[in-house]
Amino acid sequence: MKIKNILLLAAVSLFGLTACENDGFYYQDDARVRLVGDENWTLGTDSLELSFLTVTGDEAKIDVDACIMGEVSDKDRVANIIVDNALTTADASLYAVPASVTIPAGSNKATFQVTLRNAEVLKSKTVRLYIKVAESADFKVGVNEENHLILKWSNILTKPLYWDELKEFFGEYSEEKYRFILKTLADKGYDTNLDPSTSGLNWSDLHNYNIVLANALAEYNATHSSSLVDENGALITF
Amino acid sequence: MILLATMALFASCIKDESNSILTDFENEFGKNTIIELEFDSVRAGGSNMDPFTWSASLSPGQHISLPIKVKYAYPQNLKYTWVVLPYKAGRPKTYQVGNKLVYADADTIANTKDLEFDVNLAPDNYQFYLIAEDTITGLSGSYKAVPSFQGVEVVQEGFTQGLYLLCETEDGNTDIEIYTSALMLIYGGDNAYHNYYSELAGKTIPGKPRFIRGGTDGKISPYVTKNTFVIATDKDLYRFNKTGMVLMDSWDNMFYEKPEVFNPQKFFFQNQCEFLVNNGKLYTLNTDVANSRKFSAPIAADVNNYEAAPYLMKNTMTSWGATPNAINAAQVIYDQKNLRFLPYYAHKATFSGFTNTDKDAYLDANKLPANPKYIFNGGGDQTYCLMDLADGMYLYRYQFFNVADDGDFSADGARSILPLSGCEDIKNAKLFADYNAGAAMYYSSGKDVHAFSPATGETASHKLYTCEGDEEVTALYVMGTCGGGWPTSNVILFVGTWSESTKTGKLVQFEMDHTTGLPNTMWGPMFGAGDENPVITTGWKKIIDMTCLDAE
Repeated sequence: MKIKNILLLAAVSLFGLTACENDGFYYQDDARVRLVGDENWTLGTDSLELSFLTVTGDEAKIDVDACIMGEVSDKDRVANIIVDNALTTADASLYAVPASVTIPAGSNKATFQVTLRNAEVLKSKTVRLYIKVAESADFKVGVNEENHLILKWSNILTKPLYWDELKEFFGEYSEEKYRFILKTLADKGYDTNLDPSTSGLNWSDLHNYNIVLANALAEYNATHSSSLVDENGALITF
Repeated sequence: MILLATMALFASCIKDESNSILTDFENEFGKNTIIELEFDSVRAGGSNMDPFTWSASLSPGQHISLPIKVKYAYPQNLKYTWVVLPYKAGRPKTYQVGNKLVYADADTIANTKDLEFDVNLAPDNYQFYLIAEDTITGLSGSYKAVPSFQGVEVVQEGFTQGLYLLCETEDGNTDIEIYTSALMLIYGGDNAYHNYYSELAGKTIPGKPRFIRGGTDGKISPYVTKNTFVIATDKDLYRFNKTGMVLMDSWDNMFYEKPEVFNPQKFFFQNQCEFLVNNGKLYTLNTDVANSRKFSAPIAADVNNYEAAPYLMKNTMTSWGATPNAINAAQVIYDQKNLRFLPYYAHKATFSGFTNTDKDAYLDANKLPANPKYIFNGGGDQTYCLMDLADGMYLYRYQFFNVADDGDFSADGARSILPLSGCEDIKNAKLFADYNAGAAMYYSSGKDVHAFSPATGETASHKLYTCEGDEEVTALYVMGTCGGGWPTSNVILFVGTWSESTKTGKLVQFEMDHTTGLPNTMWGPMFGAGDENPVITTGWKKIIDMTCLDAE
């Protein structure tokens, strides 16, 4: 028994010495930055998808965190952000990205905004923006999985598979009607997930949406020179 | 084999007597193999003594006596079992157990023919059955005691039935007091519960009172079950559970989108839908479908162009005795902005409209000559409009209930327009008794109470009540039907008055003939309520509104 214990101790000691052999990389010596998108949009992924159907206005401002990997510093530090044009399909007019972000002294992250813009072209295609960290005097590029963020956005609409369940409240489907529904509900702060099987909306919740939309349509028609029509020229009703 | 088959044939013949026994029942009752059970109205003292015929609910501790009459050839052979089981929509209640539905277990409450039972059941709806079984033959018969489709409701302790008086306190807040009378029959005689809410809750309801009406708790029900009070003050709108007056909702959480302007004007629950008029807009809460007990956004109209008057119809949809092509709207509102009536159909997002008015119609529902001074329900299912026109005061009577839209909603032909020149003080009238099942119109300017009936042919009003000193009339209320054909339904008018000098409220109870608008002492003496008419009680706070949940 005694010999066995001695041999085991020797083996563990050898293993420990081996582990010390390659030690030499520390983030405090070699600070890096990683990008983290809004948790609601990007949790568990490196990409964010957005539809302007549910956005109020023609601009969406997306918060992105530049998080340091390493110790906080007692001085301000700058991280560089660049657009990878090879992996970006969006026209430059459709977005705005700051070239750099300053991480304040004593802080382990800074938040910057990426602006995404709506345009007619987005009704027929989805565009992509690939931003990534570029090395600066203060930071090197972070780990591969989080050294970039992909933003994809469009204004494309497809008929939901569950429309039959909504028909009682919203009538026949048309793209313009659906666009009006999503826009109106989003503007009023309602949940735009209309899928009864996942949204938890009950009959009265959807009936209330119906009334909200009827009022919004009445207001639209009263304040525009012509009543709202769908893509086929038919009057939209609720 | 042949031997065995032959023996079997003999055996079957030997026992073949049972059917002949059943058909051989014969004695002084005749041939009778059916066990018939029914309520014994003779021993009970009248058919109206059956507690399940008239009572919509039972209270814990209440005693039930149910004598039973049996028709059967051999009653001495019968063994009796009374069972009670939770009941809903015409059948025993079911419960989900695992992945299947099972029926609720029945409880045996007695083994006697007649039932003497002290209610000790948990709050729910129940059906009572009597099962009689012949111990010799095994024949059995049963009796379903509760005729109601939904069974009888055992209510939770803590609900005091009666006329709820919404009162203003001296410090400008709201309290509830309760009155019951012998004439109201089912509430156990003359009682007064002063300071009911404030003693129960330890505080008054903030704000000056506006109105009180029966509402729902939001549970899906195919019936109109009023089990909450919706109370408006000038500061808030509340929903109280009738049991213990527990606060359930207030203005801040009653809507999907809280209206910008707080101005609750009228509320009524009918046909599984709560209707609320707030600041000229109609809000709905449907209780026949899954709901979140919240009022919808305001019902829409063309270019959102309407302003609802504080008026809501009581009688709207009907399936019983319906006129072919009746409009059957869930509600009809009056739009003060466009001087028109607008029908609203159940579950819709927008108002509809009526067809163009017929050129021969006595009244135009699409364009009134002026906004009515006051609109209220009268004549059971008619809409009374008090019109203040250049040449005098008029009563316009419309009919929107159970009629087809033929372009003429006049309620009574040429008599749909009646001059009110013979009605004393009508010009200054500011209080009216809404929801009268009879034709009479009760009104007050605050001083005295008058009645005018379009049904009598008379052209003048009658003075019903004369105020004394500085006494002023503060509320009028017609007590409606109290559950089906309850004898004293629709015969009571309540008048609330207040004397500022004595700081005392008075409640005046008239037994009325609501058709003629004249006092009528008939049911009171018959049902032990005495022949005093009116019955006046004092010591109340300032009564601003009143309601009886069972009789709205």
